[in-house]
Amino acid sequence: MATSAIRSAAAGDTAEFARIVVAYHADMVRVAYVVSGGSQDLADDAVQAAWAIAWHKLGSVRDPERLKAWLVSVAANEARQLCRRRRRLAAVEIDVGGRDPAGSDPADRADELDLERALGHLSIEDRALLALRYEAGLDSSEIGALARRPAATVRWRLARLVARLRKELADA
Amino acid sequence: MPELDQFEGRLAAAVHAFADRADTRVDPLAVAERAIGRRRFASLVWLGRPLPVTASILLVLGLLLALLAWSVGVGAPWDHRTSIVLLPAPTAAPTTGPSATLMPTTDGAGAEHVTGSGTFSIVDSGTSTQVGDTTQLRGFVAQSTDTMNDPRVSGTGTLRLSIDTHDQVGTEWGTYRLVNADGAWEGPLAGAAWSGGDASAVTGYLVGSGANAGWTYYIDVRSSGFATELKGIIFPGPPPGP
Repeated sequence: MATSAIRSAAAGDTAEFARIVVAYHADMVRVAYVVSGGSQDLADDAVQAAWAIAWHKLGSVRDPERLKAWLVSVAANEARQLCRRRRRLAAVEIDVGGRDPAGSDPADRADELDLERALGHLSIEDRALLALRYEAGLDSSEIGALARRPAATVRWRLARLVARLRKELADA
Repeated sequence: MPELDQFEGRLAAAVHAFADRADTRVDPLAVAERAIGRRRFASLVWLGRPLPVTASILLVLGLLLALLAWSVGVGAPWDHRTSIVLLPAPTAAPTTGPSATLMPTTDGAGAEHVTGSGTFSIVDSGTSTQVGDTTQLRGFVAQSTDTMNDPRVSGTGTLRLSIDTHDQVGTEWGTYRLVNADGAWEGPLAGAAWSGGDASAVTGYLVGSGANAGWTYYIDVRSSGFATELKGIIFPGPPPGP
């Protein structure tokens, strides 16, 4: 996305803004979906709220290469807050049987299911971290910059989370 | 994304597979319209038929003029004569986001309660050392652009922090220097982090210089997850003593 397009959208060009929506909406929904623990409604509402924020604050994005990271982090944040408001923290049921790609190796599929079940037991905060790291592909420094947290703190949390998941799956 | 080990690779695949279930189809114009808060004008209905927009506007104007004439000539049905004022244009409902809700812009003078938001980028992520159960982070430097509702505390900030983490909690301390065209604010910050570093609060008294000389800016930075709220007050004189 070019700097000029972001500037135009930030200045009120609705057509440019719609183009940005086309480019990044799917990425934002995927991240919000993971954070929400698999609630399509919540993910849609969170991303819609994130676009409202983006419309007002797009001008704060100086580097066009940071646009996607910024947008998915806003979506993740909105999903977190919506989850809390809807009291979905305690137990989020995740449908782990919804997809069974034809031809996939059953052993691989079993691994995938175990991991997905483990995801279902995580807190919203941890799912947000996983979504930004593994779905959006942001590294600890990027997540830290967006979350206003030191990268070392993000690495610390991620390392603990991955270690916990590794143990959980080994014990399963 | 940096190279992942085998387990992280599987974890990433599982997260992707989970995200694949999301329905990402979208009507971009509808999403953009809702985000912007724009509403198409709805025509008025007259005898069961929609009136053209022009006719609707004329009808509304006519009703307003009739109400004005009645109010001035006969007296309004209210106890006190009311005056017609221009109402501000409707704005989008406020949404919670990663930044604080801005209060109305101040006049930029005198003592004030201030709020705002900022962008943040890491200049130096510092070095971590493990000492027993404590992880010591030193030399962390970040730069922020603070956009506040008072121009005196908007500008470019440099944050220098040291952080000690003990499992799920930690302490943070350092300095903050905020600079703008008219002057600067500088002073120590200290606070704490919890929930594995996901939430934190740091506060401090920053002493003004340049056009801000003789004033102090109390800054309160609260973060929860990926949301950060900036608040504070500007007041005359030095920071309070111990």
